[in-house]
Amino acid sequence: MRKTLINLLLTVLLLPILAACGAAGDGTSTGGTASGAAAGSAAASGAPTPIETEAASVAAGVAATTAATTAAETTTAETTETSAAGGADGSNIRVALVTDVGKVNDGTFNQFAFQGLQRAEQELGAQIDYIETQQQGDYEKNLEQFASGDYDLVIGVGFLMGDAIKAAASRHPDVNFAIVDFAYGDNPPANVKGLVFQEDQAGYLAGTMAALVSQSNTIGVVGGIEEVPAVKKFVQGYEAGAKAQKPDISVRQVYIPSFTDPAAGGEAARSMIAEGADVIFGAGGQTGSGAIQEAAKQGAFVIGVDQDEYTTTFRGGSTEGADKIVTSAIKRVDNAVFDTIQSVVEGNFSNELYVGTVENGGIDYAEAHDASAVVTADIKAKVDEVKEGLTNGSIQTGVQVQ
Amino acid sequence: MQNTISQPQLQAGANVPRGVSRARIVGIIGVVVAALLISAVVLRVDATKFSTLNIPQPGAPPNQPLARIPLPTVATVIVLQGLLGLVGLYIALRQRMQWITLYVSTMIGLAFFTILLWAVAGSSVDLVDVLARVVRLATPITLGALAGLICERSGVVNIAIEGTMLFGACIGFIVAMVSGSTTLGVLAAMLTGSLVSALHAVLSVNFKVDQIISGTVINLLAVGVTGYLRGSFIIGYEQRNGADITAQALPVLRIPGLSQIPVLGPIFFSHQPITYIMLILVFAINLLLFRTVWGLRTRAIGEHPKAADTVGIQVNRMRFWNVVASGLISGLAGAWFSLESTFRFDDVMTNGRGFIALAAMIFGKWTPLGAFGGALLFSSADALQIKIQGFNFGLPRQFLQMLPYLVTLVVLAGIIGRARPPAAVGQPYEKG
Repeated sequence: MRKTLINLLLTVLLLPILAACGAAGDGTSTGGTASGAAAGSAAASGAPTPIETEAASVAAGVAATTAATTAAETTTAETTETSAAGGADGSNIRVALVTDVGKVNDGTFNQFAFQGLQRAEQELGAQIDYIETQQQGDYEKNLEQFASGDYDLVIGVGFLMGDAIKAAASRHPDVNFAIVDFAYGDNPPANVKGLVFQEDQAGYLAGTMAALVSQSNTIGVVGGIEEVPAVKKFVQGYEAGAKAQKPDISVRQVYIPSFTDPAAGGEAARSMIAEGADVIFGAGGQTGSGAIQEAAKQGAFVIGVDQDEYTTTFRGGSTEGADKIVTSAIKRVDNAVFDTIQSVVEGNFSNELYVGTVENGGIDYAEAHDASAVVTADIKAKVDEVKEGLTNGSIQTGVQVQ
Repeated sequence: MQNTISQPQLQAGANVPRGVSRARIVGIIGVVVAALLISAVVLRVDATKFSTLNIPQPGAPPNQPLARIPLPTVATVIVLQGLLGLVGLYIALRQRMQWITLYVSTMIGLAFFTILLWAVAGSSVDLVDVLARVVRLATPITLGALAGLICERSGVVNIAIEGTMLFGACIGFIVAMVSGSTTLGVLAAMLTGSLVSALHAVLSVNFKVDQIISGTVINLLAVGVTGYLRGSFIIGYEQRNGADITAQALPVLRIPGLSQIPVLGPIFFSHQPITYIMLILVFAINLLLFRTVWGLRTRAIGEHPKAADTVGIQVNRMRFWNVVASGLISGLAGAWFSLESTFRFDDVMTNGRGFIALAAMIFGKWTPLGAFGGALLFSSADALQIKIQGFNFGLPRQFLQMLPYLVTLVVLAGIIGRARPPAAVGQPYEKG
């Protein structure tokens, strides 16, 4: 009995691993036949390409150890590689993306950045590649893999990657880098472009909406890791926006020190609802998504973040509480990424900081979808008025976060 | 191994002299804590302010509470903490050993209550909401601790609770999502938990791999495999079949009648199924471990496997099956994350609670009731910080977020006294 169980067990546990290996194998063969073989696939197949020798001099083991992972993940990226379109020809431009911990389809800024990459592939014909980071310790390794390969632009996603990008940029002065959500201050490295956003404006719009929708005059926000400036700007902008509408409104704030703790996010939302909050803004990755999911279930109105969470967290209206999401505070990471790739294609890449604002379309708010009965034309008009004010500068959020 | 080497000293140390000084230490800590809290509140809070406790009517909206209890913040804190300090002084002077456990729990409870009063000075708070959250958040930790103590009582260290939970959460969610039945998902999570634990058992009992290494391997494997499954299957499936996924998080089961009792109803009788199962399991396993043949044998193979062997207990076989059984419980804890508290699966969503569970187990000195107490300690600190962050409070947020871990650390290290693990824990048993 025990022997049988052991055998069964080993089989069951080995299956996913074998499946992963199978995928990796496919990736290698696809990569080999496709026009521009990725560094990962080349290393995996063992071909002595220039890429590999260069890699060997910098970080010998790195490429080989991560090769299997990349190979598996480049499979999808490479299938449409040859479809170069009109406009500026970027077919000899190679762009790579390193995600923050997460996936390119996880419904966070990782996915949004990847969409920018995909657009560049379709519209500019750029060759794209990506690695999904498994844990924070892998940033350097993943960046190094692309930087030491033959890439023109390497894009990192997330504030937490700031130091890793800077280090990679100084090791590879001939490669251009971009990083979402990080600014290097007055003297950025010459080959790194920061892509940041005025999240306070997005939060301000969300706060305006929340104050107008709220009946109880108490609203709440669940943030992720407080030390990440983007989170803090969302939260403080939210408070400022709400107080601008109703000066006496009570804005409850809870930060959860993790972006992947939906259970804690949900409890934070319930805690604020028990104190009378009737609108909850979730600004902290999956923690925030967990918060608004639970809040909607409890009957409060909710506001999503980064993308239109109606389509991600509430699966396009098919989940419980989808009629409770009144808007989302949107950050167009995809546009920023696309524009950066375009600048490389057109040969005018610079290290000048990109700041996404309401004015340049980097910041926006999402429509009400199933909650349009609550977000009346009056409310929408008022939010648009505030948006107009933020655009022409007559309204300032007053949020200072560095 | 170290444990056995120091065993004789440990027992000697548990004799009278050490105990007496411990009463003194605990008493003094009580006095210091009381003094600190009183001075902080007196200095920081306006003496005219009231902290109002709202007692909600079960089922009614939060703005129509059953009762509002206004307490003058400063005066209440001085009275409560003053009493606590006096009792602490008495314990320190008279060295009342038998009071320590009760005193320490009261001290922690009152300290939390004081911080809550302090945070809501000039405002009101739903106290029942906080206490209900304490029970909910204790669920995965208690279950993890129960799983851990079954293993350790059998002589197998299981630090793989975290990974086992994560596996359970992931597979349970996949099954629920695809089949449309959350109940099936919970069963799948438990089955997965037992399979993963069986791997630990195979490695550590049969192949006699170092148990820490085996556990670490499972924890690492869990992060990788579940992350892969999420990226390659869960997200894609949700996007393709979003509208067809009918399963939802486990429903809240309000026990008729009992759930309508003010205060007690929301705290104990308005929960989701896994929380009820947790409450039952605490007492059931306590009974099993200390009142049945199975329990006696389990304790025997963890304390002195050789002696157990000589009376005919098949040590390794029993260890194997106990570890497999513990996996059912940690799998259930995993289901709490993906099927009860939320209906979603995220990378590493267990966030280290499997390790906190092990701390709760040690806190409870390897007994189910004690482990439950340890879990409550952590979850009440967690519930407290979640609640008071929502108020504009003088203490920095980072400190509040740290509170659960800080309390666990301090209590484990200083107050509960030396915990004695089962003697043979961590040692593979070889016959003959």
